[in-house]
Amino acid sequence: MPNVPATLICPFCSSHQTENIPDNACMPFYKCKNCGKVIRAKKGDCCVFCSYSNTVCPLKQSGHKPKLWFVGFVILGFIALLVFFSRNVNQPPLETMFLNSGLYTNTFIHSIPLELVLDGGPRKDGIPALNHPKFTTLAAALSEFPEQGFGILVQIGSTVRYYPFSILTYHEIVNDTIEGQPVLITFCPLCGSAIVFDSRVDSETLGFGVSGKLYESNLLMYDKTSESLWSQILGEAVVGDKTGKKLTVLLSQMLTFAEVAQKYPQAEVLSKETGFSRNYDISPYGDYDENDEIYFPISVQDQRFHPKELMYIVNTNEHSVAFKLNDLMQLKKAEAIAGSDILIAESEDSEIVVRNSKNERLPGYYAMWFSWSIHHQKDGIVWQSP
Amino acid sequence: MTIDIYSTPTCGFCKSLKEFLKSAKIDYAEHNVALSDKDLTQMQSFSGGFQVPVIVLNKGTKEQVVQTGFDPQWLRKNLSL
Repeated sequence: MPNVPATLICPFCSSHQTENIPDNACMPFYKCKNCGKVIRAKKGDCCVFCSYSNTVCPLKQSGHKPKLWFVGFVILGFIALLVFFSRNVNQPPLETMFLNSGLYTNTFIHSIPLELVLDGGPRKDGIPALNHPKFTTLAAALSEFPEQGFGILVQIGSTVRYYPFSILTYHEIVNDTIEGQPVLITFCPLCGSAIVFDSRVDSETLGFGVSGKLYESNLLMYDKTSESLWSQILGEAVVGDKTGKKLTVLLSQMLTFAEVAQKYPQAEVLSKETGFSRNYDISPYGDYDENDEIYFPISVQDQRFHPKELMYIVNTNEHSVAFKLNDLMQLKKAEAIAGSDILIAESEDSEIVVRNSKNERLPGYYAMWFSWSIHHQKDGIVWQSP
Repeated sequence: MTIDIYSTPTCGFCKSLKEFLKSAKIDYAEHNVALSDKDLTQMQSFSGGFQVPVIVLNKGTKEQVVQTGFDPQWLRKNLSL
């Protein structure tokens, strides 16, 4: 049996090291070549590869089945180890808790409780982000999408691109470049949150994928550089090496296909030719947008509005301001005091423009009430029609 | 000849080694390196690594031989089986 290469992740320093898994021995200990600390296999694992690598060792893969007396011996050994470790060794770190999902996230660093990071069902990239999106002309797309179906529209320079939710629902992330600017189109069907970000962080352009994990029922993206997890609704890395780093929100509008056809005939429309076999004419979430169900547990349930009420959100330095979208569409104009700033929001032909006291236009995004209110109980300001 | 093996309870190759020796009716001294740092350090001094099992024949003598991993062919040759 040839030696199998595996990537070990040191639980102490997070460095990645490639080692061959021996074919006639176990490696219950390993000295990190970077930090020099000795890694021990986790309780119950035969080797460090089973505990801290992307590959289960061949012995475990082959389904090695010991005899009953040996099981008893192992159980006794476990008890002895448990007693031993509880007295002598710090608890093994959680750094590989996401490995089962295929993620290499450094969970030593996090700004949210790790127990609130939940499996959404699919593994990492089980919902495939679009990395090389194709576009079609609006005229060619006319027969492809329902007129009243929504999507997100982005304009950079003279280029206008429209990303229908019917496609985003199946991919959640599009890594795109518009006129040389890297942009990140994101949509979380569970939160109705449609947010466009600049993909650059600290001058580094990041590619993103869908982690398969959720935080407060919201999409956790991962960046392909560090595999840190990023909360979409917060636009911030919450687990991993990039914890605390933030994405910049870009201007976007949520419009129906009919509205885009009327106002932006030059728009390029995301093509259904994604390279993935999906039925983009049917939503896998049924009537989720209207019903009362939130599929995954959340920690705050603010009863002021229906949990799925759609809000338009703008962040200032001090506050996050949520405008009740339906009210804003009806009244056409709203004024919200956000600390020392006054925001004026105006809607016209379903497009929303928000400006601050300095008459600067602020980028915003859309999300269901429950998803925004979880995070803004302290700094949140809510506007609704008087 | 003395035989010392350094092993862990969860290691499948260690189990195979012990079954091999048992079937050949060969006695050995076992050192569980998962429980004893002293045994772990000793094992490292013999093999220079962290892999188990490590078999030491004639420990502490001029005829000392060290083998890492479970290798039936090596065992048959060195144990004259």
